[in-house]
Amino acid sequence: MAYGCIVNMATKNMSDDVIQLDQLLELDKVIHERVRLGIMSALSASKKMTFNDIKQVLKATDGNLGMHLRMLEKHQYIEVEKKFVGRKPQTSYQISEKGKKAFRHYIGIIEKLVSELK
Amino acid sequence: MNKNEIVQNINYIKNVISSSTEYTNLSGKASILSGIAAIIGYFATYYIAGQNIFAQQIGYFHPFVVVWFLVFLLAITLNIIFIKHKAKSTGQPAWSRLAKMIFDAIFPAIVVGALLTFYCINNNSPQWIPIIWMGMYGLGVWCASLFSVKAVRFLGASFIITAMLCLFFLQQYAMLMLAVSFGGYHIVYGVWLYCKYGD
Repeated sequence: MAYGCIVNMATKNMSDDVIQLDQLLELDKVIHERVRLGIMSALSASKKMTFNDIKQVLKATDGNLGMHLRMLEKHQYIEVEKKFVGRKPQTSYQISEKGKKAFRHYIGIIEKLVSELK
Repeated sequence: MNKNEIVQNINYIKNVISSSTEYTNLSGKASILSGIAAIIGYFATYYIAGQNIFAQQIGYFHPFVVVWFLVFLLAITLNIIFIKHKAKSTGQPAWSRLAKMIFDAIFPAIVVGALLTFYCINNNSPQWIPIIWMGMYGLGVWCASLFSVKAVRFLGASFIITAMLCLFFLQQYAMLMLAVSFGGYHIVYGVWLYCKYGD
């Protein structure tokens, strides 16, 4: 999500429901996207998942999921392992230390936001 | 981002985590039918072998062994059929990563249970068999529950507790408790599953 968009969202409506701008900027934009948030959540709960495992859980399409996985890989939030099972190539993913940290940080901010909204 | 969006995000994270760690493709119907099969098995054993079922020496073709082996096969078949059917209707593969984990978790307990049963048959000590079955099945189910919903753990615990009660206090009722646990517990659990998840 582009920062401009967040600024728009934050300035559009300054009611109690809207979160402070500086807090929104803290949200990791690599994680703050539906599919990528799903991938990070799933991988944070499991040791290792194959492409198909993740696809099943998130009910995403191949292309879309592949794109988001590559993005997470580019930021080194996940580790990728490719191997052959019989003759079929199988790609499996697990969360990296950097990814774990980032996800924890993201959850921390969300928690803070929730507690402030109560 | 407003309150709603945050709450949605949190719910989404929760859902993803539970669907990637909990196998919910369980069939209440299969559990109820397996329970009924176990109760029928209990009465069939007495019907065939008479009131004192262990009067004659136990062997691999003793009515007790044959009947309960059939009940076991029937229960497994029923579960496979119903779980496959349910998976089809929800559009998920029945043999998923979590299903494999559950199989790995339950497998050792079943194998040890089978080996102990062989030992008891060979050494003519059938009185331990019901307790071994309840205990080992309970352990297997408990382990499987690590990859499924909480209720499965209750089922496992009930079997383990029943087995231990039989071992220490109620040895003479072990056969009856076999029917109560494999029959009754499965029916109760099946009804609960059916009400909560349907099918």
